[in-house]
Amino acid sequence: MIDLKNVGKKYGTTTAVNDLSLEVKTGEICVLIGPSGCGKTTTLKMINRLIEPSSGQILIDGRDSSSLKPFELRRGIGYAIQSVGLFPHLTVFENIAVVPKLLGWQKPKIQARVMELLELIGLDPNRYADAYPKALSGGQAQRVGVARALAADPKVLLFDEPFGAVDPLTRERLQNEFLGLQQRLKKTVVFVTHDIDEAIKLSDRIAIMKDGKLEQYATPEQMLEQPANAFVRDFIGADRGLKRLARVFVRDVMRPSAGVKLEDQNLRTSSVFVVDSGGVLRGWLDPKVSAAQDAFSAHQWQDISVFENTNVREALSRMISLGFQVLPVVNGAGVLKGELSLEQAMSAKGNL
Amino acid sequence: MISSRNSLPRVLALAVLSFALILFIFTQTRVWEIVLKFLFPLEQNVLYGTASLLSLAFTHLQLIAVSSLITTILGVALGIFVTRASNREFLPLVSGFTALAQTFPPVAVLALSYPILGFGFYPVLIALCLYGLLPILSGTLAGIGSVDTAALEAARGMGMTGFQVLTRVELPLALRPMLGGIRTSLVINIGTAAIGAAIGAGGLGLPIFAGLENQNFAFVLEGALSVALLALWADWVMGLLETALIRS
Repeated sequence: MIDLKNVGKKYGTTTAVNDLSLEVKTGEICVLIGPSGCGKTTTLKMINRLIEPSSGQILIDGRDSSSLKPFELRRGIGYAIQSVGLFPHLTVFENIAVVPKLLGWQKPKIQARVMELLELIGLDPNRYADAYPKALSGGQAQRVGVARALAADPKVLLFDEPFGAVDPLTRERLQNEFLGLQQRLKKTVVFVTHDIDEAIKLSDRIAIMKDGKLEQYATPEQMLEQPANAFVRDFIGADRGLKRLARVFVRDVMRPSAGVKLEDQNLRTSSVFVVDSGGVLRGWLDPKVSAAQDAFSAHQWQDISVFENTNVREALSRMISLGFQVLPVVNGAGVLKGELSLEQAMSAKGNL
Repeated sequence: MISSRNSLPRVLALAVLSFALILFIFTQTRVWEIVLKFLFPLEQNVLYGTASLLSLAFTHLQLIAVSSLITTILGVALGIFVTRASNREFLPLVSGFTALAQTFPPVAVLALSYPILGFGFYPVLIALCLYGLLPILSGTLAGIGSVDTAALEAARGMGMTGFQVLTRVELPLALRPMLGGIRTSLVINIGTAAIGAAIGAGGLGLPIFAGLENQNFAFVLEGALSVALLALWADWVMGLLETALIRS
């Protein structure tokens, strides 16, 4: 648990962070968000004392962070930043091994840990362990940055816009990977971003700041439901209703779908989706056509379907762009698992 | 990529062997005589007779070795000192002075130092130290200044102490400009030291000045070739050293 008690930071006469109190529960992701200059990064850096607080107290698992030497404190806290900051003169392996080495781990233990982390972030150890950072793509470098933060298995992670510098597609993939990791690792994470969609997607709780002050600290659902004030409401944006759907997943609202077998001639069924004998989605049925095999269109299942863990906001966007009122829900192999209708997507708000 | 061609032991072995070869060339008085006689058939004496080429080279190398060692240690230490967060206020002053002093030609440095420091080996040594300091200091400042701030922040954020940040991140990343500065300083010093003969330091400048005085260009060529040989050797060895030490 991270407990900030009346923490403040002043530079001369200007106040960067003003009397901030915040409690991040163990195993939760707390996202700090706000416009530039709101003090979110300052707050993050005060936790590992890259910036020393002018006032107040920060407790990490009940221990006052000022009771340790700064470098000792930091070795126990994972840290990843937007510009990644991989060491260009060290290999990927050596970059990830930095903190374990500082902590004096034995070589075999470091070796095993780095290999485990490379697997975890989906980089082939044989190919990348001895590569230098300049050989990595932006997304790969960010993954190595995250692995480096995780290297010594710290309980607390501080992330300063770690996915800020990559293209939107890569960012979304990194976010999903991060959520998957967090489900397994259950770290206590403080995550700075300026992207409200990222905050809503990743956070257990959002702390929204303005001019060094905490404006609201709540779960994304609470914040979307009841913004504390006009600033929070404006910051979240006018499409609060849509944004709430990002917190609901297709699996929570979809309905079963039998699917029409490819060889069926009898079309007296409620389903409009055609599957082969293995249950894999092959197309959809046009009511004007009688036989299922005529229903094929040029679309592959990847183009029209959503997954159970897709959020409803994305599914809705897919419906609008395709002009479909019902989308098939498939698993990774394309097997039809159910379907999602427009009414169900619209009603998802009520299921919160 | 690490270049396996130039490992550090290999470079050191090459440096020692090539140095031995140069010393061997300096001992070959007969060969020098034949070559210079061929080039200057009208001169009676084509070899500077007061001292052997080997002993001149020895004095010259002493000047270079001592001054370069002092300047490297001093330049790197000063460069590190002014780039520490607590000493940053000195940085503009030192880097400004360094830039300004670089515009001074080496001859002017020696000419100006003579009235102050006097005549002989040690005054020239001091002048060489002062002048050779500048490229090393500016190389160190440029090198440390070029280190990615994100890498520095990451290093501190991961729990490196100030000393660890310096030795594990800043210096390895600053190595290329630093070695470049040392290389420049060394080569300039080898040339400047020859001018030092004019104010009594001895060394390979002696035949050059003697030749100029007596209109004997065989002497001039003998000295100049020897100095050039040393300078080219030093430049080549430093280049090899860079490829051996720097990996990226």
